[in-house]
Amino acid sequence: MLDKIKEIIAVILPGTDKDTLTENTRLFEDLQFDSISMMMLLTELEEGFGFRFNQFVGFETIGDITGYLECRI
Amino acid sequence: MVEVRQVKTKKDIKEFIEFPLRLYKKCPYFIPPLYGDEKKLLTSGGNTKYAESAFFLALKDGKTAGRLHAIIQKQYNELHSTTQVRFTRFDSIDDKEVAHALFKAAEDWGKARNMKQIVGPLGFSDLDREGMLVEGFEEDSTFEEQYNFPYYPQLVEAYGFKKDADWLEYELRAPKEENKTLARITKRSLEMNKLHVASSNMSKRRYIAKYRDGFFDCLDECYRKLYGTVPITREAQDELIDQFLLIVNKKYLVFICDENDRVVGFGLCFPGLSDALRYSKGKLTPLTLLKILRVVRKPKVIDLGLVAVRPEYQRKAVNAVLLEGMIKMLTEGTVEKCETNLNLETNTAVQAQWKYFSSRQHKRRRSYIKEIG
Repeated sequence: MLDKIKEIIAVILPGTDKDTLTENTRLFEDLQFDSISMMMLLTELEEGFGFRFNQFVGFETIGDITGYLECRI
Repeated sequence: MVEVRQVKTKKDIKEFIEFPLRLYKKCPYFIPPLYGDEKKLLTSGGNTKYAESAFFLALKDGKTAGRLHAIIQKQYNELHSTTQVRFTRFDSIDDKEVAHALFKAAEDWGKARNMKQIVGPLGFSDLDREGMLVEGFEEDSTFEEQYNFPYYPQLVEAYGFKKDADWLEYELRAPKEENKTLARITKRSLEMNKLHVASSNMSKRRYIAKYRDGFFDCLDECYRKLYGTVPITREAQDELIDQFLLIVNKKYLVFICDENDRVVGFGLCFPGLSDALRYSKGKLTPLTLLKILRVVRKPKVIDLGLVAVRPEYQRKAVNAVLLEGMIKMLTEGTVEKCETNLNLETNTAVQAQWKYFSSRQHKRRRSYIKEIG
């Protein structure tokens, strides 16, 4: 799951080195996400993992994403 | 010898309005304000419940050599606990003595009213022309901003003014590559946030009337902490609507609403009027009106007027709706570029959005401040 999330992030932020991403990577502070990148992430997660978000979720770290998906899927 | 006097007579009013038209007669970058609007302001004296004005002319060797409008924005001073007199409509020949005589007159007028600082160029509100051009002297001005010659900042700084705030301006063109993701996420953003784009399937007048209160409420909430801004009074709202009704095109006025049809965000753009007004001296002759109407129907340039999203919806990608709308404008139809107008230098959130376009930061404006008390 973590690998798939890293791939999605690399698609949203071209040039990102997937090997440097960890569960502790902070999306806004470390990767300079903005709300549009976050929305891109949410839509890619929906397509990649086959579910729909009921509302906008602003993840802080990659670990938050894996934690959410583990509960949701 | 420079003489400064306050504008009192009809002749003074005419001179005040026409001096910059002469000064910039051959300048292709200067776009005049509407003559009628300026005359209305000066004839009224520029005094309201919320602001007090004085208009000054400077004469050298018997000829008008400069002008300046001083404002005490009482509402701003009360809200921010400041004692500031603003200056705006500053124009001068390249002569320190003239410029300094005007600043001194504004200072003295402000000091007599217990003001301790002078700042500008700033108008009555954030919706007036503001900021002195300090970079980008060979770029077109938009209708919403005041051009000045390159020697102006030197005149101001020589009097002891220091930088108070800067604004940056960008020229936006269509992105080099199509961003299909942005279109996709716009739909999801609206769905996730339970928002919708208001229907404009009605007359322009009705559309504006329906959403006007929501628009101004949203504007005040979003702009209240920004430099130099004040809430827009009901009278000022009416004036603004009257002023801009002719040139507003519903296609470029988007309201984002919640389930209760409450405005939570908006984007207001204007067809760029620079070409239509360039050598018009601000007078709406039949020919100028025809040029304006042509531009309103088929603009080549869009000027970004106002964009805002309420704080509770910021960082939730609601701005994707507005950005996607702007990109559509640039890729479909006649629009070649968008002028962002003034973005506060410190407003990095707004400026970060321009990465979705092919963008060029081409102008910088400055507001200056000086202690006078």
